[in-house]
Amino acid sequence: MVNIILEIAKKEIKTFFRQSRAFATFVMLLIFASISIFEIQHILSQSGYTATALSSALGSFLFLASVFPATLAGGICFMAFAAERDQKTLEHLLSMPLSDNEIFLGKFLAALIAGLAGLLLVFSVVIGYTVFSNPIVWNAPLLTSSLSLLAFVVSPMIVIMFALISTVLSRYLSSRDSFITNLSSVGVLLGIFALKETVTMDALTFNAVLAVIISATVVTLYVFGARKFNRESLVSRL
Amino acid sequence: MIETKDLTKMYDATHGIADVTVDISSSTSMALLGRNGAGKTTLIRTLLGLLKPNSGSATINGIDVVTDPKDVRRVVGYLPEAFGLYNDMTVIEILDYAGKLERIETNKRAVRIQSLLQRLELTDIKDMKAGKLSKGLTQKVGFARALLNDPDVVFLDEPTSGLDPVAARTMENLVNDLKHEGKTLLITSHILPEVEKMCDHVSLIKQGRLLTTGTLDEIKNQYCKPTILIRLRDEKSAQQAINLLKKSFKEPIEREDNKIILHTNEADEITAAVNKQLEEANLPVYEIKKQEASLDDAYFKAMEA
Repeated sequence: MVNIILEIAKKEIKTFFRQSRAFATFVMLLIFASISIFEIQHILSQSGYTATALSSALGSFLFLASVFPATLAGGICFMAFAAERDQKTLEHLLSMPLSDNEIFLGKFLAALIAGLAGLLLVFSVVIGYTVFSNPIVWNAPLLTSSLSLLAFVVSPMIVIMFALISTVLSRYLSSRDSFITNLSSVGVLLGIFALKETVTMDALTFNAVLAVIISATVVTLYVFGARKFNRESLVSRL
Repeated sequence: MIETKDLTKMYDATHGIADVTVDISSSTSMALLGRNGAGKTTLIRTLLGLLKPNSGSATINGIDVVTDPKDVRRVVGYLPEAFGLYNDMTVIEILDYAGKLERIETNKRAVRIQSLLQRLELTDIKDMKAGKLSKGLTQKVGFARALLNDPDVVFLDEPTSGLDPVAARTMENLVNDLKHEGKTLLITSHILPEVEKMCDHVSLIKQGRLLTTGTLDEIKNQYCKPTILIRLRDEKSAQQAINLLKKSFKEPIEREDNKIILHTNEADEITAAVNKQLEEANLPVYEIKKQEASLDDAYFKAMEA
């Protein structure tokens, strides 16, 4: 079962990166990484080049940088079923001796791998650039509880959430509508980012609340997505 | 081997299949004929376990399609009607990917793919991207993909649709080879002359219900009789011949200009007698020959009924 899931995931990732839309995703990487780096540099120049200031700045702008992996994961997942349907390959895939779970998890895993790799890439770029290009005074540990929660829980969960949303949506929409998921993920994340900047709640509490809400959403989406996934519903839309 | 009993899959009150009972044995190629929307694809999808039947039962090689759909799909190869290939992948990549999903071991997979590439004359284009293939080549690759797991049962939904005559002939030959290899084939098509070449059994389906099933000859004879075509000197002679023959034969007789057509199941036995009777009546016969009923005629009669 695992081999099959990995094969499906591998094929999905290859297919995505062979398409021109993969280029658009990397443009998003450049945009959001650049904005984040620019803003962090700005904060550091005003607050001083200390680890405390850097940690606080990263707490805000790593979240913004999550837009890239979220759209990447969403894009791959969206193409998973929509492109199969558009290319008329879905019926053959469904007629293979595969379980529903193997197909669903294979497609989802592709997005998860690409999304988490994207997350690692964008975080490495933003953290690496800001740490190594500035004379940081290490007056405190960089990895605070709030930043850890953001980097290791909230951001990965955001990637998973948009991958699941896209998988569910892709059953109903055509691949030409993939911009819907991209725009919605950018919109939702920018909305949360704006909220984070305006509410008076401290960063740790905000991230904890966010982690709980996103985790609940992920579980709900998975249960909804996995339970509703069946061949008949897909075949009836061919 | 395919067996269904009262298989029913209705989407709503009028669409789907109802009470379909068929029994297709090995080394048989059965054509499933019917108008668009008659339920042909629904029957195939139900047999593949892609659609859950409302009632009835179906087995393929003794495996229940409702309880063990995954096992059914292991022994079935399927070429859907409107199918595509992954356009960004090469022919060999597509077959290799399909082979992996079919769980064919690496060594066996490579051998099987090479054998199918040769058999379907695809070796020269194995490194070509699927998006650049012609309709005929795409159909061949789809066929190769359907045969990758060396299935016992093959479903072909409109396999020759849109193909040029050469590609269609290749497809016919392949189907006949598969039949001789002992495989069970269920084929849907609207091109009836090709069906006659590819299939030995026919099922007619209308509005989701199976009208009849039988060998090609049984179906033809069920709906149409063979005919004796007699060409006479002129229309007047033809009319005189009809008047004469009606006294001796109860079978329907038609006239078209100077030709008369006698519908009978005993064409072989009575052709000489008819000829003699007309000659004796001084109605010289220019031509007399037996014509077999065609599937085309039988199909139209069945659909009109």
